[in-house]
Amino acid sequence: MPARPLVLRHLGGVLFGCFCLLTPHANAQEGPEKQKRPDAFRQLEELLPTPSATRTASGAPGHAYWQQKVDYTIQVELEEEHRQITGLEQIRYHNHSPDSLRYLWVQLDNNRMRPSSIGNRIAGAPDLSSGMSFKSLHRRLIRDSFDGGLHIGWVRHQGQELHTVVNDTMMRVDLPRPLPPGGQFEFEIQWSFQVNDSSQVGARTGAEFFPEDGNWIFEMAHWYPRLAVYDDVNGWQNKVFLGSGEFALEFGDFDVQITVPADHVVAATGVLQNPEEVLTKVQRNRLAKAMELGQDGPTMIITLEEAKANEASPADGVKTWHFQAQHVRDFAWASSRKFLWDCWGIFSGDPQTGEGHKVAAMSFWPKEAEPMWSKFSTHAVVHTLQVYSRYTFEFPYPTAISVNGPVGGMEYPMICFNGPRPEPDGTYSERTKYALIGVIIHEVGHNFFPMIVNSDERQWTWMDEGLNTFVQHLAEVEWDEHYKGWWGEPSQITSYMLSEEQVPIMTNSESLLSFGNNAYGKPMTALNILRETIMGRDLFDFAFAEYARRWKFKHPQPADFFRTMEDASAVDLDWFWRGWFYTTDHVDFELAQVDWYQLSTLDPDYENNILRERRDAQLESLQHERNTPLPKRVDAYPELKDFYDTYDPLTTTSQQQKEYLKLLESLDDWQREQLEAPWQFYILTINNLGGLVMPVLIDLEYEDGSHEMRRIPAEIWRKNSEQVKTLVLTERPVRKIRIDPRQETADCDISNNNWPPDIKPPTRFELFQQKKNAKTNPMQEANSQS
Amino acid sequence: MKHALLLLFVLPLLGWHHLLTTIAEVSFNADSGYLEVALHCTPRDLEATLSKDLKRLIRLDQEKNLDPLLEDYCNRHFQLLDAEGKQVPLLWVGKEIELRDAWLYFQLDVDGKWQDKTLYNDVLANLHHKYMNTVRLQLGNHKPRSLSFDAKHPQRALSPDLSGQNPSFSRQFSAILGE
Ligand SMILES: [Zn+2]
Repeated sequence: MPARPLVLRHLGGVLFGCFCLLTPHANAQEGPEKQKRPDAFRQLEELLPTPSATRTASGAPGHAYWQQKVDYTIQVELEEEHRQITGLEQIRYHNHSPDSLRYLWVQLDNNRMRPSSIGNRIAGAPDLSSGMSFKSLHRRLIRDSFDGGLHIGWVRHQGQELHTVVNDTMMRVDLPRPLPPGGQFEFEIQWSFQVNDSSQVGARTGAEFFPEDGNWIFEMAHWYPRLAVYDDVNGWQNKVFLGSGEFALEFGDFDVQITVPADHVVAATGVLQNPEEVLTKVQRNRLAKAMELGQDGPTMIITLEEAKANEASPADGVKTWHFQAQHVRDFAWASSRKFLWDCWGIFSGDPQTGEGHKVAAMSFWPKEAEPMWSKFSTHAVVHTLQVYSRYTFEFPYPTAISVNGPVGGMEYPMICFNGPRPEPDGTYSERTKYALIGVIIHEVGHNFFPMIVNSDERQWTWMDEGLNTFVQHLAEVEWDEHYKGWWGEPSQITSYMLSEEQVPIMTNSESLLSFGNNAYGKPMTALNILRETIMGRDLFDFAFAEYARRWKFKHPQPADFFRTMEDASAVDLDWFWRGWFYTTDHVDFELAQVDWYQLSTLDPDYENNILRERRDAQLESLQHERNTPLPKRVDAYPELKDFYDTYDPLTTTSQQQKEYLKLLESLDDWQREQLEAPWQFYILTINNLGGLVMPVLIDLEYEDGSHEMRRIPAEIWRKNSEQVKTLVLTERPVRKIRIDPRQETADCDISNNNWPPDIKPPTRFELFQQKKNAKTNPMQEANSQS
Repeated sequence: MKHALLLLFVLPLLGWHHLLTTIAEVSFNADSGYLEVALHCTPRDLEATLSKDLKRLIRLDQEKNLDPLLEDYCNRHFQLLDAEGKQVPLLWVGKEIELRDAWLYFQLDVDGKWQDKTLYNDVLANLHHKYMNTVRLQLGNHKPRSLSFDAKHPQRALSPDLSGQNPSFSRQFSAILGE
């Protein structure tokens, strides 16, 4: 049987929206027409570093992967009255690299608090347009005069002074002879510094004074000289600390002895080695009970009454707290006589096999943080460990601690500092409550990114903040109903993505504009879209956990993340990384045209009837209507009439009828059935006005009001990233078509997404005004009805 | 009370708590001839910037007469200027303050003509020099656009034709020692 083309009945095309169809975007350049169109699906090889034996093309560490190891033995003493720290550290540097090293770089990040630091000198101007108070002038002057830098007493190797050079927050230690691959080098540093009063100089470390009782809380971070990272990507990561880019550090083992006033309580990274010397028998018994598995909440180790008594009468003398920590990239601690303390022992591991270990989840806080902290803090710590472990790996450390003090929110291995507190009368707003829970989840969550999956924070803020904020969101939605919709809705990021002053996510930490949106909001939204809309939860969750597992206790780079997510899912995401991480394009699809067709039955009677109906349904033109009653010459002289006066071109001729019957005979059963099938063909023309390619999500609303969702992968744009046409074939007529009706893709302008177009939806302002103009609120309305 | 004050002044230097970002949706109402503004920020940022601005601790949920404070703040930090640099009147409409979101609503009386106006927006600027404000414009039949305002660019023209140009006037600054 000869192939016969089917005939389609065109029911009309609907064109609307912007007629200057294509808006040029960032990639469009001057030049010959044929070079203009950017390829959104071009693979990323030219942007990513070449795979190597250290980092493979799959995104995993290669067979030759190496990283340095640095072990520290530190004795440090806190002198409270003058807020003075003096320390002595012994560093064992293990050179696992294939290179000989002639010098080592040591970070002195506290030097950021020297008046002459680069970070201080390049700070932007304050806003003086509304004046300046004496208080802020005072603070400003203190910031310009306070020297919080690390004062190096000496740097020695086997008793011999080593030559050093300090460049702002970086110190080069010249080695007596090159350190060969596989070699070890031990040296000692003696140092001291004054702790910043956080009411005057804010930082990620500091001391807070409580005038009512005359006591301090110390939260100590970057308090000792720390080795910079030497790796296969940067060589030395020795960019000076300007104040935004956080830290890049090597893993190692710590043995730290902290000497503080005798009545202080110390919380620190690692496990306390000498509880007999620093804790009372009662405290030790309580701790033992708290660590028995199966407790249904935290146990108080130091109660409110005990903390009040402790802070009221300072004791004489000092005590030394001894901690050890393995496989950590840093060490932080907090000390005060004001602390309350609770602990909840939980199991981290496989409950089926019993393989795993105990974790002490603990919190330390002053009475000023009650009653919020005893209610929420340790619960939030445990919740974080449980949820994050599900999405990454079992929490490997023995402790996880949340401390309240001067620092608003900052993370270190096993310990973090969180600021929110209730009002002085103990009440707190709902907002403070969720701020506290949110910040604890966030900071404890940083144990996973970047404390264990140890990305380079100085270079890439998004790798720890973006990933962590994303998992934070997953943990928050499992806390309570309130968290629904707080973060990660693609619609929340659209205004930022439209803005002109943007830099790509792949920008160095110190150069980021709009830090919060760029390093937290946009990457976390991107991951959320990957999970919900592009990959689906199963594929995404496996790949994300695989990245965490591969790079646990290692130093991943952006390419390792990008490659692993593809490697573990078989989803080509180069277009997504390119658009979302390397450009500032946004998403804006426009449903520019819909053409609607049906199959012709080929039955001339039937088809002519339809055409006649359509013809008759058309409104008569005004002119025609007015001319109709006019007397006609052919009526006055009927002899003028002929064949054409009664001829209707829509009347089926017998010839047409014969041909139709002949045709039917030539068709088989299936083909004959198709002629009567109710197929509806809609050709959608979609313009990409924003530049980012994304899946095309099509919602069909049928005439009976039911909906159907058709999801077309982003690859539909592979041959033309500016305009695509797609066929939607249905069995029933559709009365409305919407692109991305649930706002999954961060489409920045949804007013051009519908067919037929909507009446403009009310703005936020108009909604508010309507609400305001309504005389009653919903409660009053409900009351008046009852 | 004291601790809260201490905390307040420490936090602006830290990354996590302050988003340092506002988003304003601005649309033109052809019937009234006004620009209608819905300005979003986090309640925490709003509290902090007001407290610094007014040199006393402001609690959004405790302040008796908050609306005039907000109106005054917007009047000084979200200014629409005409071609001569004169400020267009701001008509306060109201506010919605929720757990995570604060919305401020007001109108700008442009008398039907927004094309020659310039927006000065330094909301939150007193918190940190890295603040960044976004203004999303929906003006007549133009495609929605966003303008960014930061320490370097506190002022921008509304008209797409003028947005690349520097305004011919600048806002007066005055440094006054207060308190
Ligand atoms: Zn963070």
